[in-house]
Order: sequence, then C-alpha cells, then structure tokens
Amino acid sequence: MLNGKTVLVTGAPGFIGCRLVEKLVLEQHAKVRALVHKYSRAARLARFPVEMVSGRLGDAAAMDRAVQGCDVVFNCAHDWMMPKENLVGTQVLIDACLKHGVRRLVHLSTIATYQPLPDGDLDEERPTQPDGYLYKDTKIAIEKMILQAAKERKLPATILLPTIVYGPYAKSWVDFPVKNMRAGQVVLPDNGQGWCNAVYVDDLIDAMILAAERERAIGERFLISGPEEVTWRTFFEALQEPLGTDSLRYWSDDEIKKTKGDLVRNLKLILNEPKRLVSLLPIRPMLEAVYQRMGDTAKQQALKLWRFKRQTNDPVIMLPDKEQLPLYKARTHVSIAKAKRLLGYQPAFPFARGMALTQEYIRWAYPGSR
Amino acid sequence: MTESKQLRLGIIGCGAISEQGHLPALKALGYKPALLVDVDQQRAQRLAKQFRAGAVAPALKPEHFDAIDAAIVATPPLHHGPVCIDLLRRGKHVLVEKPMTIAVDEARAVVAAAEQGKAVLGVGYVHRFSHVRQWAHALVKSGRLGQIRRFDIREGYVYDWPLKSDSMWRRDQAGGGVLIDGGTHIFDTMSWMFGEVASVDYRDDSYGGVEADCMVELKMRSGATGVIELSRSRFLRNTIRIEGTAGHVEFNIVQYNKVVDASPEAMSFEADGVTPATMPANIVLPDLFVKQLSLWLKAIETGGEPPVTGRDGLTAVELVARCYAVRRPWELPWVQPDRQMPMRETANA
Repeated sequence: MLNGKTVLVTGAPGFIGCRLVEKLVLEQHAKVRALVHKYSRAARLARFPVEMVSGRLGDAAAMDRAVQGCDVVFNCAHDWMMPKENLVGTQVLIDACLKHGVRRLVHLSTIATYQPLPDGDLDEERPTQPDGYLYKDTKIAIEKMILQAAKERKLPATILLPTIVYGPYAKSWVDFPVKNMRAGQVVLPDNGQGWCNAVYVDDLIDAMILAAERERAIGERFLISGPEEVTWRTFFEALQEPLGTDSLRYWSDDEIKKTKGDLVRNLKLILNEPKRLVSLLPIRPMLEAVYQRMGDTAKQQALKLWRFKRQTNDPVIMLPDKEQLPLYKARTHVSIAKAKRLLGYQPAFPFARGMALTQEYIRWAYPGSR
Repeated sequence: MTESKQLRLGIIGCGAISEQGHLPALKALGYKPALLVDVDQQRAQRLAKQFRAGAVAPALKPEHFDAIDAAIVATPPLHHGPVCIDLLRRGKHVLVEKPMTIAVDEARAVVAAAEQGKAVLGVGYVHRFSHVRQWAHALVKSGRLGQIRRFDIREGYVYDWPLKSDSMWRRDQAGGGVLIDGGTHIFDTMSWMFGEVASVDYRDDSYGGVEADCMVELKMRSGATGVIELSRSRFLRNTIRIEGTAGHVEFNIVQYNKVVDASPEAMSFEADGVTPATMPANIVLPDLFVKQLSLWLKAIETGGEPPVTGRDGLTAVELVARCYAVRRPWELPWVQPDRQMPMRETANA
C-alpha cells in the first residue's frame, strides 16, 4: 500500500525509526524521507537510499520542507533531554501535516503513559494520569495534542503505544542491559517473576504500517505488544545467554533499598559517573528544568558532564530505578485486542523467534560473546 | 624563520577535520593560513578569526592561485580530485585528506598533475605517524616476526564524527561508506606494511546507500592472508594483529601507543630507541596532524618526498575500487528475517 508513496520518518536514525526505514524501503518500496537532527547519528540510516532533511521537530521551516509532498508521516522522534521541545515540535508537526494534506500521521507513544502498570488486564480504555514522571507526562501531553487535532482539525492521526520493544540495536532493552551485564551485575526484584510484555521491533513496525493504511485507525490509540508475555527473568536470561556471563542477581526490595541508601557506594558511583545521581535522587525533573533554561554552550558542557564516565575496574551493579522497580514487579497483561480488531495486527514474532534474532545481533555487536 | 615557514598556505574546506586537525597543527607550527575556503562563510569567518587567517572565500577561484603557494585540501571527497588537479598543475603543493579521490581515474590524474606541476603531493593518512604504527612497521620490515603469514584487523566504533552536512552519507559525494572513509587508513597501513594485494573478497551491508559495516578478506602477493572488518555501528576489538612464522604482535588502532599483545621477540624489538615498554604515552590526534604537516612542509622545503605520497594515495583508492567491484551483500539475519540465512561468521575472532 505504501509502494511508491513518499513517507517521512522523524527520529529515523534511532532504533525504531531506522528499522522502520529498513522495512519501508525493502518491503514497502516507499520513497523515504528522513528528518535528521544530527547527521553524525545517521550511519546506519545511510545504508538505504533515503532523502535526509536536516532539522529538529521544533524547527518549523525544516518540518515544512520535510512534510511537503508526503503521503504519510511516522513520528518516532523524542528527545529525552528536551521535554518542552517535544511539545513545541508536536505542534509544528501537526500544523505541517494539516497544511500539506498528509494522508496519515502515525505517532509513536509508549506504554509508559500507563506507568505504574496495574496487575491484570490493561487496555486502551484505562485513563492515563500525569504524575510527575516527566517522560510519561510529556508523552501524555503529546497524545492529547494529537487527539485534539484529530477531533477538532480533522488531522488523520493514529497513535501507537508499544510495550517493551526489543530487537537489534534496541538501546533501552538490549544494548543498555547487555553493556551492564558485561560490566558487572544487573539486579531484578521479585525473583524476576514480574511479567514482561515484550514486542519484537518488526511486529511494532508492521503495526505502524497497518496504522498508516487502515481508515478505522484514524483518531484511535492502540496498545501494541507481542503474542505472549514472558517473565523478566526469562527476558534478561535470554539477553545474557550469548554473553556467557553470570550477571543476573535477584534481590528483595529491602536489599535493593538498602544498597541504594549506601552512602559510600553512592558517592563513588556519582564520582565515577555523575548521571547516576538521577537514579539515586528524585532530581531528574529539576535537572531537566534547569537544562531547559541553559544557553547552547552551557548545554554542551552539561551534556559533557552527563556523559562522563570514569573507567574503573569496579564491577557495576545496576539497580532498578524508581520507574523500573514497579515495572519489573507488575503482573500486567497488555491487551492487543483493539489493534487486532481495527488494524488487523497479528504479531508474527513469538518471543523465542524475536529473541533468537536478537541473540544473533548480540553475538555480532559485542565481540567476545559466544 | 625557515623558507618553508614563509609558505602561503590555503585551507580548502573548513569542516571538522580542518577545525580539529589541520588548523590547530598549523597554529602549533607557527603558521597563519593565508586563505580559508568554505561554502559556509560564517564558519570560515569564525575559523579565520580564531586562527588569524589572511582571507576567506566561498570557493577557490583563479585569483586565489596567486595568493597561495600550497594548500591543504579537506573538502568533501567528491571535490578532492578537481581541486587537487587545479592546484597541482599550477605548481601549488598539496596535502589532500583521505581518500585522495573517490575514483581511480581521478586519482591517477592527481598523481600526473603533481608530476606535471613539479609539486609535492602528500595524502592525509595521519595514523601512520603514531608511535605504535611506526614501531610495528619497523618490526615487520626487520624480519623479527619471520615471514608474515596472517593479519587480522578489526576497527569499529559507533560513528559520532561532528558532520556539518550529509555529504558523508551520499555515495555520489563520499564515494562509499566505512570502507572508503576509515577503511582507507587501514588499507594504507596494510599496504605500507605487507606490500601488494593479490586478491580481495568483499561484503558490506549497504542497500543502495553507503555501507556502515564491511568485511574484507585479502590474499597478498607475499602469500600472507588477512581479514579487515570495519564498522560504524559497533565497537569492535580495534586492534591490528600480525602473525609471522617467528612471532606475533597485536596493537591498538585507536590508542596510538598501545601494544596489546606480543611474542617475546617482538616485545624486545627496538626502533628509533622505542620498545613497547618505553613507547611514549599520550600521543593524541592533534599531535599526529602536527607530525604529518611538518613532514609535508619539510618535503616541500627539501624537494624530497612526503612520507605518504600520491602513489600511496592511489594504491588505497585502487584497493577500495577493487573491493566495490567484487561486492557481495552482507546479509545480517535480522534485516530480512523471512529470507534468513545462517551467519557465516561473526566479529568474534
């Protein structure tokens, strides 16, 4: 259906955006245009014949150039460090889509809008509530803007809320834990028995393409997950398997709390890696607010400090942060019934298949794996 | 002030490599560039102020040729050939960034232009000037490792060079991907150490764009075999390992002074008063640019050859072309899982 159509992907250099581009080119034979904030991050994207448009979401002129002539826009961009810019950017994107008569805007949101996840069934009927977790609150606000534009300005938009997206190059749920397991230990609560609603990236991409095509998708939100839940223990052990390490530890809440409160350990952690401060104290919103007010030079310095990591021989012990702890303990069953019904979504990657491909990637991307 | 210090130097192309490499090197050697050329005039003006350049221009024009004696060419690779030929034919000495050109014919024309203009042509294979590569080169040439049987080179990191445009991502402008970019550094080192290539086998992950990952397998005329794996998407081992009949050595590519592993006969080898144990520490990229620049200037002053000549540059361009000519797709199983093929080999050597 997207064959020969001009399609814009924002956030195209990222994990999901890049995989979307791959499938749009290889399977859909679409003409892909990519909004690129930093060219330096586009090495994998550049493997494909895509037209790159330089700019950020909030840059109205760049967005206008990027959207002009597009049939479909996939919005995968999100800047964790710039929450307000995401909101401004969304408005710019909505206006550009309406101005140029885009046939469909598919916006990628997140299941984090429902955090902390409830035990039992979760579907789209459950209301979302801002609670001070900035990522979640920003995503909720963006959804609200898009749904309002769909209702009041006839924006043909669809929102997808993927669960735990994994696969090759998944920064949050593959690369980050793998790096930590290689460097030391990763701690899970509850003996790892919480439920992980994982979705292999290709299933999510298929849902995005369906959302671009189905008329009944307009103005709707869809939870997108894989065909089955696994426990977090299963998920992390599968990531660990190709590494051949013994890095997973299962601690009680008390042990996690006690370690998090160990002053000497925390001081050492912060000195070695200043951004650890954020996982220890509830200061992320404050830091983000300060960051927003900084000038460009100060922002560069702040990012330098944020990314600083001293090389040490001390094994890393990764404890779940404030948002992860309830996520790892929840027994949530995410319903994909609505996506199946209205989009015709049918996940094709059972966990075993998706993880087997992910393990191949881990062996390839991390020399020394077995 | 020596004669060479009075040279009027132009910088053609003021991207990141000029800002971070060539201009600081000029400054360290006491030079003020006579001319900065870049389409981005705002950037050129800023750098001119910072490095006290005499003039700036948006493009190299005939009137500029009288204002300079020599130039560092650091434009996008597409323009290397025409710019170098223009300069060299007029007798202007050139230090051109790698790759010398993106096409073999053009590389040959550049070499011919240097001969015609009797100008000194150097190519920016700056990694050659690290202590460890100089030492390893001397080690290989000394015969201390015996006959070289095999080399295994893995270089990869997640690409983050501060690009100012998309030219690096366009085959028509860059000539290719990781192979023609970082890979030509490796080809230069390899040819310098092991001589001529007899045959190549090549795979990469491009789907109509420029490759981020590639694998080269080589047979050398000497009988040695080698593997080169390059990546812009992964952190690889980042070492060069050389195995001979009498010993082996492995040294780091990114850390310019680090021998990772060596047999006793290699470990005790001394070149220019340096062994792995006494190798000077803390050499960084700007130091390499200073060394490269001073040797090129010395060649101009003495009428000699620079350490990396136009012919060396041509050899690297020819090798890249040979690889692309026999290109096979590197089909990673997750890209098109429905037509999944088993991975024949991984980066885990």
